[in-house]
Amino acid sequence: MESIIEEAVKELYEEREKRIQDAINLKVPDRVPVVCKGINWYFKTVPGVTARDMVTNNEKFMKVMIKFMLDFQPDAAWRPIPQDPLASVLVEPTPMVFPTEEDESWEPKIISKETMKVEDYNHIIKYGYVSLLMKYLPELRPDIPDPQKKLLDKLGLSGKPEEKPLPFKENVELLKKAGFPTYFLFELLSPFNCLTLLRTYPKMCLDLKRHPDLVKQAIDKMIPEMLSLTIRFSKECNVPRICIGLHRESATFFSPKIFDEVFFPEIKQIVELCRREGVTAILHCDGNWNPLLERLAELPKGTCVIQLDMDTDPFKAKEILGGKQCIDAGPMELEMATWTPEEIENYCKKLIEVVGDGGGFILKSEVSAEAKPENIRAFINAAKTYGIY
Amino acid sequence: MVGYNCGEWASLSDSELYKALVELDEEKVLSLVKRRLEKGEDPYQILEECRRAMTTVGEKFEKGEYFLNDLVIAGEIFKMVSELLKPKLEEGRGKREIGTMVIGTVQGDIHDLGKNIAKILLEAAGFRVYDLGVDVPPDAFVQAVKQYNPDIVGMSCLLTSAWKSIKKTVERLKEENLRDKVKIVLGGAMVNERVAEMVGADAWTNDAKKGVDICKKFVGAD
Repeated sequence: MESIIEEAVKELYEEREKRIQDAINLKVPDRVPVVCKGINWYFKTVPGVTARDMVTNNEKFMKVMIKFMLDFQPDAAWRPIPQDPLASVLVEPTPMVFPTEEDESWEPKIISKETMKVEDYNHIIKYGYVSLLMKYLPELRPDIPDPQKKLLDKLGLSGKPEEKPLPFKENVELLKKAGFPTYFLFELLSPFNCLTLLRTYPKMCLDLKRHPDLVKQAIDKMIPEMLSLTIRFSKECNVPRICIGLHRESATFFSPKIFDEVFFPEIKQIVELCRREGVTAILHCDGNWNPLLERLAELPKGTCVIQLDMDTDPFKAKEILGGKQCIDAGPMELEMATWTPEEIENYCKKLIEVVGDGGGFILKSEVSAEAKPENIRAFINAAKTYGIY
Repeated sequence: MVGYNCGEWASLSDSELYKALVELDEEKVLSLVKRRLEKGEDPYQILEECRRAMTTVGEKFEKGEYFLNDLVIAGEIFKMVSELLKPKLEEGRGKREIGTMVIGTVQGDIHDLGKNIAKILLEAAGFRVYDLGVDVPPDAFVQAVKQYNPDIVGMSCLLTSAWKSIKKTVERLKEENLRDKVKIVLGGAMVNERVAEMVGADAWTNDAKKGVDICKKFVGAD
């Protein structure tokens, strides 16, 4: 009898994976796939789990993750790995405040600090980004002794590990056993964003005015270095998608001229490298991308997912990117915390009808600890009620 | 507040320094300021020319001619000029202000970019701004309102988890009988009308330019 359950779970896993891949490949799936970044409040429903556990205790993190997936039934898991205080430096190279045992929610907060100096651009160009990161690691994670050695341990890259490597593959397998694919395992900030965090935004504004070529050369050096490791890990875990955070590249922060000269070449290189390696880049387009959608439409057809944040109009995105790239959009933190379930349902219904028309659409939400659980249910149900093709 | 006579410094907007700052020419601005200080020129005239230039930069940003990076560069150059002038300035003299504000990112939140942008624009618009920084506890806002007697309190928030801090701050201002003496404006990506209503604020914005207009309206300078 147990094999019946196993078979059913396997079928569900395959259906869900196909649904997502069909949307990414601009085909019409059986229904609109739905994904949700939403467990940063859910730990409170699991006895004995604290906010601190959610970044330090993989077993408890996965218990919360699996319960969330079974409870809400989205189509795939969103980055099923704890935001480890040390390994997170690869994602966000800046000092951070992590939750304590007493915190009611877990939202690691980044501290704006100028860590990297102008002369370090040459360091990156000559010795690479990892070398720079290792140099500043004690400053970026001051509470962790011997962080360089520990980071290599956590990534499973040191010869004699003293710390347990992060269980990337195990977590993906566990979700698979429960019937859920992983939407993406790694969420990496783009090289330009990493540089901006290391320099701070005001300093980066000056750098791009004073030494644009240094910034560009550093980015060119960082792209293959940063992506190769992430792609390797993703492929080892059989997750053919990685998420790349494009935050400061948006029109919110820099002029279109700088976008054309610096950011668009960066994005094109990232997408192309991922395509060559057989993984899809989910471009997390934070901020306002409305004026830049035409540029994104120039990327080779069906090579990436354009994941929109709250400041970009998904309907305008459909007009411009429809049939060219898969769009990933939906209600965000503010809506999920302040709207009623009816408002969420109506908004998702409209998104499904318009942006989901003809496929190439993934309904998503990113929720904070203040999200109303009834809104998350309304959001997921909307895909299942109105999203059938 | 010290008054400002527009005729006092003629043709400010034609000066080389004004033009250099509007064009974001950092090198030229700094060399002009140094040269003029060496010649013994009035530091207040230099400061006023730069303030005028910052207002023009702010206007260009509002019109969409300049982008956020341009605004931030102008702010950074202005900061460098202020450092050069600081030793020669007497506190408070020569300022023309339309109102006073206390701003800060509320407790539990450490984002500072939006707040800093708002500060540049508010100062360019003529507000005296007291910036309390990030992760500001309710009582620190209360203390600042008592100390600086502002027209407006601006609270920045980029996390929904920080809503409770805003609410607490508003409650503390009420308890101290200060709430009716100030207008409260919320700013940041995680606020909207419902949040403003829930915490008891007077206005909200997620756009620094609109935020300045709201504040100008509150002090009757629109």
